Order: sequence, then C-alpha cells, then structure tokens
Amino acid sequence: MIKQELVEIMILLNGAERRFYVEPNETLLHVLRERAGLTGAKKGCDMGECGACTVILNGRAVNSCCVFAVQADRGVVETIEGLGTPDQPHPLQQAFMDAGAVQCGFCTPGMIMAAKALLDRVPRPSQEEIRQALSGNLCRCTGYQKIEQAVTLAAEAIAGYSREERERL
Amino acid sequence: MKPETLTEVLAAGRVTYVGSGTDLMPLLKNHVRNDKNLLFLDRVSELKGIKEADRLVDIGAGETLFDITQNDLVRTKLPAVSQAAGVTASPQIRNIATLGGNIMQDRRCFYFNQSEFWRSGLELCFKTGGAICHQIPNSPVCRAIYYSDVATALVLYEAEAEIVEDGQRRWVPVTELITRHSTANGLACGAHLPVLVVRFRAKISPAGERGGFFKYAMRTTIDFPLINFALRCGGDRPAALIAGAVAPEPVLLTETAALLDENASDEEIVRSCQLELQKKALPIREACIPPARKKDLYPFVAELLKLRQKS
Amino acid sequence: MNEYQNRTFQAVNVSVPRLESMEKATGRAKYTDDLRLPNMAYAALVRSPYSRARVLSIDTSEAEKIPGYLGCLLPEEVPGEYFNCSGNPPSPLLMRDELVLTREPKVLGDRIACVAAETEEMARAAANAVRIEYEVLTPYLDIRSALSESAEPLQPHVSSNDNMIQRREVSQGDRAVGEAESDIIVEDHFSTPPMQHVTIELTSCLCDFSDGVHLTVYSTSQTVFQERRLVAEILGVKESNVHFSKPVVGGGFGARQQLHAQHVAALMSKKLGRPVNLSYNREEDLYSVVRHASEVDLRIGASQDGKLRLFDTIYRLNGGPYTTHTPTVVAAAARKLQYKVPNYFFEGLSVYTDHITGGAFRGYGNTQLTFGREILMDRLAQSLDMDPVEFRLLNQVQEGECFPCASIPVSSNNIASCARRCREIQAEIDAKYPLINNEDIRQAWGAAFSCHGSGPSSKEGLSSAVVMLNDDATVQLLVGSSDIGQGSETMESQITAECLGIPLSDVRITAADTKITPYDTGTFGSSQTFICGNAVTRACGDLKKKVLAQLRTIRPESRVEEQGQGYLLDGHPLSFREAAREVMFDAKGGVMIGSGTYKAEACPNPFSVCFVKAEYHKKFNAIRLLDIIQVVDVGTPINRMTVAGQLEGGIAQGVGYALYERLEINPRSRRTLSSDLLHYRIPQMGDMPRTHVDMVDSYDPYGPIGAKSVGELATVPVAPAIVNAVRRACGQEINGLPLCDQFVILPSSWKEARNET
Repeated sequence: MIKQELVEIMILLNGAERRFYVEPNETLLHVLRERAGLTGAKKGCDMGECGACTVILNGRAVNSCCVFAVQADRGVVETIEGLGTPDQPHPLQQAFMDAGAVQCGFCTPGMIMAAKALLDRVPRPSQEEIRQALSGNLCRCTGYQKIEQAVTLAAEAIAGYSREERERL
Repeated sequence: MKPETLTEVLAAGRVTYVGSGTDLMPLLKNHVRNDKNLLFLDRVSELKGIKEADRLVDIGAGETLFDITQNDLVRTKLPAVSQAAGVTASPQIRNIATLGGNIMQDRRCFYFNQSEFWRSGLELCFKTGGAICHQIPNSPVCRAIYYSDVATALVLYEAEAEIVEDGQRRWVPVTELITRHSTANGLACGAHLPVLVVRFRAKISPAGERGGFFKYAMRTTIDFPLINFALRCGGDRPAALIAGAVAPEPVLLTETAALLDENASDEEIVRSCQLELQKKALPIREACIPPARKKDLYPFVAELLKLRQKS
Repeated sequence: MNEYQNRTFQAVNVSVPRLESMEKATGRAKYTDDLRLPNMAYAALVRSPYSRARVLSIDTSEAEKIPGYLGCLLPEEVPGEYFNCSGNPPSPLLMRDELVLTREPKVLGDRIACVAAETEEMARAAANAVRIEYEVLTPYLDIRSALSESAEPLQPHVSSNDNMIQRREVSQGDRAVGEAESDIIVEDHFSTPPMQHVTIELTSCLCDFSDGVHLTVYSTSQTVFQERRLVAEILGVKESNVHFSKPVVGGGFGARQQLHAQHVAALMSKKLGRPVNLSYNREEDLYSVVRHASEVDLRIGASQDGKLRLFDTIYRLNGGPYTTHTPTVVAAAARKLQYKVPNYFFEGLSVYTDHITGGAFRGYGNTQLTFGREILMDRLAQSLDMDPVEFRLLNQVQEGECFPCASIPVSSNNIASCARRCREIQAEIDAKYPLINNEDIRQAWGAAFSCHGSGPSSKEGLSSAVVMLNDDATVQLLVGSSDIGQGSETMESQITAECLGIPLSDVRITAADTKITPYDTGTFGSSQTFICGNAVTRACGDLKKKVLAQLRTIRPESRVEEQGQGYLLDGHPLSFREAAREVMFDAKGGVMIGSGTYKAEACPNPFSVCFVKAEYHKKFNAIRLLDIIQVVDVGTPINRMTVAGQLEGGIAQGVGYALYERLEINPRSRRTLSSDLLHYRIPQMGDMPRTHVDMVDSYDPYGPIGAKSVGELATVPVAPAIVNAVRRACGQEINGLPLCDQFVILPSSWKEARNET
C-alpha cells in the first residue's frame, strides 16, 4: 500500500458542507465511517453486492463501498443519520419499526436509504416497484415480507402529509 | 483528475478512464488490477446526452444505465438496449454505472475475480500475467466470459462506437470495439485497450420492427447473466439474434436469425438456436451452475419469440 | 406452574415492535466494527490458502516494510494447547483439537499468523505480504475420501487410526421385526450441501488486553459466557478478569456460537499494548464455518394401514478438520423423530475432513435428517395411496407420548391444528390462483412436518435473571442471554411486564455483559424464550415474594396479601407502584432485587407444518416457487410479530438452502468458489415466493407463560416441503440439494417480469 497524495473533496453531507482529504482510491463508505464518524452505513461485503452501505448520492441510491470518494466531490450525500432521530423519525423509520421490518438491523439503514430514494422518485410504488428497488439489498433475517410492508406503510403515511410536512422530510 | 472537457481528458495521457468505477472498484480491491492513474469522466459533458439525429439514436458513453432506462427515445427506438440496461446489475449500480463503462467492463472468471489471498499459491493465468487458462488448461488464450447485457443489445442494432485512440477520433462498429477490448482484456489486466469511448449510435428501428432483450440469472438482480439474448424481427431489415454471456464476446446467431423471418415454427427456431449455440458458445465453469445446466438455458430464446407475432 | 394458563395476557401474545428498532432504524445502534477505542490498532490474519499443508517457513520481512506495520504473532508465540471453540458448555463430546495459530493447516483459511498495523487496509496489505513456504498435501474434502482405508488421520491425538470423530448409536426395537412388519419399505441416499450463515454483519471483535491482566472483548457473540470461559482458559487468566460485552449483533444463526479470532486479537493487544480490532471480510466469513454437509442413508417402512414400523438411518456429517460442534449436532439429530416408530435405528457418524469446518447452524442436525425423512414420508404416502398430511398425522407422536428413544413425554402438541390452518390458507390461495396444469407448466403442492426442541436437547440450558425494582415501580432487568437480532431482549422484557403487571415501557433490560449480567448458557438451541424466559419468570416471582415480605416487615400490624398484580393491605388495594415506593423509602425499607435461575427440566417440542406451491416448466426444465405457508405450534407466542418474523426469515433461509446455497470448493483450485455474495447466493427480495405464516393456540406447561421456541424450527421443514412440491410438479425424484444442480431456477418474480414485456 503506497502512500498516495491526498485529494481534497467537499460534500454536502446531510445538509452540512464537509471537507475531507482522501486517498485517490478511497471509497465513499470509508470516508463516511472513518473520517465523518457516520457508522450508519454498514460494510457487509465491500464489493457492491449486499447493499448494506447504501446512501443517497445526488438523489440516487448507491453502494457507497463502490463509489470513489473523489466522485462524490461537490456532491450531495444523504445517509441514515440525516433522515430522522428516535424522537422525530422519518416515516420510513417509523414504518420499519411498526411493521417489524427490523430484526438484527444490520441491513436496515441501507434498506431505508434505498427505500427513501424510491419514494423520492415514486411516491406510491407498486409491490413490484418496491421489490425491484430493494432487490439490491440483502437481508438474512426477515424474509423481506415485513420490509416490503414497511415501505408501503411509509408511502401511505407520507401521502397523508401536508405539503409543508412533506417538504420537511 | 476530474476533467470537464474532452480536450482535458485527452491531454491526460496514459490513464485508466473511469465512468463510475462500479466494475473497476472490486478489481482494484482484489488487486486483480492495480491501475494507478484513474481519470474520472463523470463531469465531461461531451460524454453525456441522448438524442436522435439522421435516423440514428446517439447515446453518450457517460450516460448511466438508469438514465438510459428512463429515456423514451431509447425505449421506443432501441427497445432491447433499454431493457438490457434495466436488468443489469442492481438498482444501486445502474444508478451510476455508465454505458461506456459497461461495454468496457472486464471479462470475468472465478479463477481471477478473487482476492489476492485466494489466488496466492495458484499459477498465474493469462489475465493475471501468467501463461495458462485454468478453465481450459490447453487453451492458448484466456477463456473468461464477457458478461455485459447491454453489449448484446447494442450488437443487435449493429451499433457503432465513437472512440478516441492515439489522438484519432473515429466511429467503429461496436463488435470491432468489443472484439479488440476482449482480446486485450483477456491477455493481461495491464494491457487494457487505450481507448476512450465517447458515444454510441445505432439506426433507429424501422417501422414494424420488434426488438427485445432477455436475461436469465438465478436471482432477481445483481447477478451477471448466465445467458442473455437480444432479438429483432419484422420491419424491413433482416432479423437478428445475438446471445451473450456464453463466450468472450457476444455471439451472432446468424443461422437461427435467418429462420426468424421465415415460416419456421418456434420449436424449429429454438432447436436451431440450441444447435448453433452448441457450435458457437465457449462455456466455462461458473459458480452455482454445472456445465450441463448451462445448455438447459439455450431454449430460453423462446422467451423472445413472441416478438415474432405482430401485435 | 400453570398460573398463567387460560389468563388474558396484557404484555405477551401481542405484537410489539422491538425495543431497539428505532436505534437500528436511525443508524445509531453500534455494532462491533462501529466501535472505536483510542489508540486502536487493526489486525489481520495470515491464513492458509491450502486445504491441507505443512508450513515450512514464514518470512515477515516484506510485511514489516508496509507503512503502518506494528507487529506479528507466529504460532510459537501463542499458547499451544488444544481447545474446542464451540460455544457449548463443557462436554466430553467436544474434542479439543484446534490451535490459536497452526503450522499444520487442515482447512482453507486456517490461521497461520496474525499481523497488526495502524489501519485495516495496512493490516491486510501486511498479511498479504507475509511469505509462507508450504508443503502442500492432498486434502480429504468429502466424507468418502476421509474415511477411505488409505486416508491419514487428520487429528491423530483424537482418533489415531481413522477420521471418525465419533460414532453414535441410538436405537429401540428390532430391525428384523420392523422389516417383517413393513408392507412397504422405501429407502434412498440423501445428500445436503454445506451452507453458510451469511449474517449480513461480518464477524468482528475488538479486544483490549493492553495491560496483559484485564481483557475486554466486544465481539459478534451468541455465547458470551462460554467465550469468556474459553478465552480465559486459552490465555491462562481468571474469568473474573475477562469481560465480554456484546454490542448490537447483526445476526447469528449459529455462526457466532463459537470463538472466532478473539483469542488471537487479545494476544495481539497484549503484545502491542493497544486495543485491537480484528474484523473478517466477506470471503473470510464465508469459509469460517458452515452447516455440515450430510450423506444420509435412510429407510422407512410402514404397514398397509399406514403405520410406521421401521426407521433406519446412517447419518454422516462432514465435520471439517476440527470437532467444534459436530458430535453434539449428530446427537441432536437423533432426538427429533416426531413419529411413532417401534423399531428405530440411528447410527450417527461425525467425520473429520479438510472441508470448511462444520459448526452450529439454525436447525443443528435436525435440518439434514428431516430433509430425507420428509421426502421419504412423501414417497411412502404415495406408495400407500394416502394423503401425505393425513399419513403424517396418523403417525405423529401425541401429547403424553414419547418420541422414539426419548425419556420425557411430549408436553404439548397441536400440530393437527397447524395442518388444518395450512389447509385453510391453501384453499384461499387455490381459490385465487387455481393450480395450473398444461403442456408447458405444471403446478403442485408439497408438505413437510417438523419439530425442534426448546433449548439444547441435551438439557444443558442454564440461565439466570435479576430484576431490580426502582422506587417508581419501573424495573431494571439483567439477563445473560444475547439478542443477536432475533428479538429476545424485547421478549424477556415482555415476560417481565406480564409477570409483574407493569407496562412494557417500565422495563429496561441489560443483556449479555459478563461483568454486569448473570450467567446464561448462551443464545443457541432456540433457548431464549424457554430457558432464559423461565429464569425471568422466576426472578419476577422472587421479586414479588420479596416485596410482599418487605411489606409485611414494614407493616407488622397489617394483614398483607397478594392480589392480582398488586396487594391487599387490610383489605384495601395497594398497587404495585405504591408498594414499590413504600418498600424502598420506609424506615424499615430495603432494596428489592429478585433473582431466578432456571436449569432445563424439559425441552418442549414446538411443531411446524409447511406447505409449498411450486411449478415446473417442461420446456426449460425449470422450477419456480409460488407460495410457502408455515403454521406453527410454539406454545404461547410471546411476541406475535417476532414469531412471524422468525417464520418468514426461516422460510427465506430454507428457500436459499433448497435452491442454490452451497459453499462450493472447486476441485482444480481447491479454493472455495463461493468467495463473495455473487457466487454464494442468498435470496433477494424479488426471489421470495409469497409467504403466509400463522401460529395456533397452544400452551406448554413447562414454558414461561406457556411458551416454546421458534427460531430454529422455522427453517427445518422448508427445504423438504419445497422438494415435495417440486417432485410432485415434475415427476422426478430428488435426493439432494441444492436444486440448481438438477433444475433451472426461476426467480419468483419471473412470471410478472414476463408479462411486462
């Protein structure tokens, strides 16, 4: 591992401008976990195969373990930490809890971010659209049934929101 | 490192072009490749855009697979390309993976798509700098398979690629590009074709032509195809049938294609396809599927034969 | 014992969201590899790429040049005593044959050395740079080659002449009588593949043994107390100086019912004087441990009236080169025959090989034997021209009767209702989507029954709980058992709330921390509801008794009695909350701590019936799963949502096992083909058929509030039920997994996708 020159990048990370000095080969996941201290995105394979590291980059769900950090330069990154808090959860977080979609929870942040990217684009997805959009996220505990239900539940909840409430999400 | 114009890209000299890096990243992590000078192309506007001009659909090499699936022009004029882009990899990967990167993806084989640890103690193969193919030990070349879905569809439409090589910018048939890429890519990781792909173009499907793409993988998403087919028929040009994920490049099933416009029955076409693939496919051992099962996949061409019926 | 039977529950038999789900859903929950300690270093293991070899030399000079390199541990620098890494309590069945680091690797991935560096990447680079010269030996990858006459013994100090770890025979009746009384005998050989757990969280530990005296371990652990015992033994320190604290764990399924690399990480920490993180990558995780591959000969005989007369099996498990769990997995399989068979012969063989080490995996031996059994039961029903479900019910061991060779009678069994409920759901599905049977596609249903135990079948389950009463009548609950994602912390809290008659939100649980919480055997054998749950009910009973006694001490003049969830004071009601305040702050008050210990007195069997609807595409020799129904008798379901989640998750694992999961070793490279999640395939969301789960009314007299287990049960019947549906759809006999060897697998989303184009 040869020490390479660090590159400065700037990310709008969960609404705040953040600067990082990164290695040219460094992944976005590594920046989030090791430099930004955001451990919500998980490392389940580090090869883009399990979806546990899913975050939203410029409005799209990506495997942060397979995105070069330098590619996120000047980009907008949303992670699970930016979504909601236990006191003020995002409807998806509430729905995952209510539907019993959380078991061991390791896939949960990635699932929720993939679902968020879906709902941002398709507010009332069909069952088929949910199954497609979340197919890149592996779960070993739930059998996926309750995750699917949770996304539907969240979509219904958001549909009942006023415009201001929706904009605040 | 992050150029914004083609001129800047070309001024960079000998580098590895990176569309989004979804194919490259695992190879770098496994030290199968050790590219040092990465040049990221995602800000180069000349590589973007999907437009229609002169009866051609023109797609920038930097367009993402997701954007291609969302594009009406591609969906209606090159339906097989749209469908292929929509079933490649996983949603997360399609969101950033580019068309150019997909076509220039490395061939794959379980003997080298492995960690440094896994490969330690094994003889180096063609791909990793040695002189053997572990799949077919008496083969004089690497037999790794080219798994692109979109390539099969581009070949169906006789697409061309605009490339820059040695400072020269020109259009070449996509089959030629893939053949050269595949050959270079099989010999060694370092000998990656020093070519920048700028755009792709293909004639829009003539009126009445029906085209489609089919992929078989064991699971819904992520998996590389175990086989794929692209088929076109109807309209005023000859029918075509291409199979992918069965050889180091897409396979043109010309004998079977010739039957598509005739009065051959679907059964006859499936049989012809099986026979032709038995001659032309170069299957290798893949995980999760015994070689005998791979042949069971040839009849899946039947899934595209409903395109023969005029709707 | 039955104070809860026929009572209306407030906190159990309801659906409750997990207590920790919001922490997980907001990304705040900390898993092992999320923890960072000041001055933490990273370690990586140098592993054998060969399945069997001898190390001739180790050269670390190149590794030392890697920037950030901190140090290396070689085999001769670590304790050299054999141990058994299994997270089971000590047992003569668990042979000691594993080393911390070895110069004689016997399996791909065996630990040779350990290096440490400033970052994980540097540690990996350094590990890759260690040059090792090997003498490569021919490995025995399967049972047949390991047992061949010419095979060298892999662990001569355990088994000097051959590779048999243990042979176990369990039998009753007379084989000749069984054969004579059987009008039909069906027999076959069944093979099941090694399956990996694929917990989405990777195996990880963080060990701080900087001072060489006090060791703190945070790790992906199911069995913190056993791991503490083993590590203390290996390192030669007192258990009181070893602190295992379990962070949030991202799944176990048996994979964490053992030590992984905590010992070597601890030794590295001592060497460096710094905390050390040692985390596996996915490739390492995949070859760390598997469900045993099995080779099973099985014969079942029945008389014309449909009664079973003979069950005769030779059951062989591929244990890999280390004993770990293997003999106990074999023993567990011998005790799960839920049918009345007078002549029962079980011969179980635990075999050493150089394949990936077999360990604990949800189902623990039951999965492999039930697979062949339920397929043969289906064939037998067809031979007898009987309905396959009725045939099974006819032979089912009923409440009060004993399983073959078992000593304790079945304490509750409502499997007949499970079958009935399955049929109702089946009828609804058939009404909506009638079975297709045309030239191209044939659909069919298949069924399988299964059972399991509640707690280890050896009855070695032991657990304890402490309930501390706060002055506002909320409580702190301490239990030793690990929640690894299955929801046990919520469930133990519910049991506490139910027993004390307080709201669930008034219970705060702390679990699986060896410094704080009392002993628990561990999270395995589907123990948490039954074993730990019983300890919790006892602790709650103890607390109530103590509060009552304290009230009597405070008010010697009054007549104090228990009533419902509170008390009567001279005939006036005193709530539990009022009592709590009074007993603590009164001049004669005291601190109220209830404790309870439960040593397994029974191992009640939960039961399951699973129906599967599958289709066969003749043109493509392809199969597709459409619906899976599973209805269970788990006694009182403590948390209905959790039970349903266990069933759905168990079905998904059964689907993967049946269709495509196998830790495959390639004969040419002798490396595992399944080195990542593209080549080890677990089902995705779109691959799952429609699932339908339910639980029937039941109450077990031994269970806490009538509860039995569910975790392992849920996955056991799935693969044979799938096979039975497929064999009826395609007309071919099947005697091995995964089905992708025999059929083209279509994702369940197949038809929908096709209609779109």
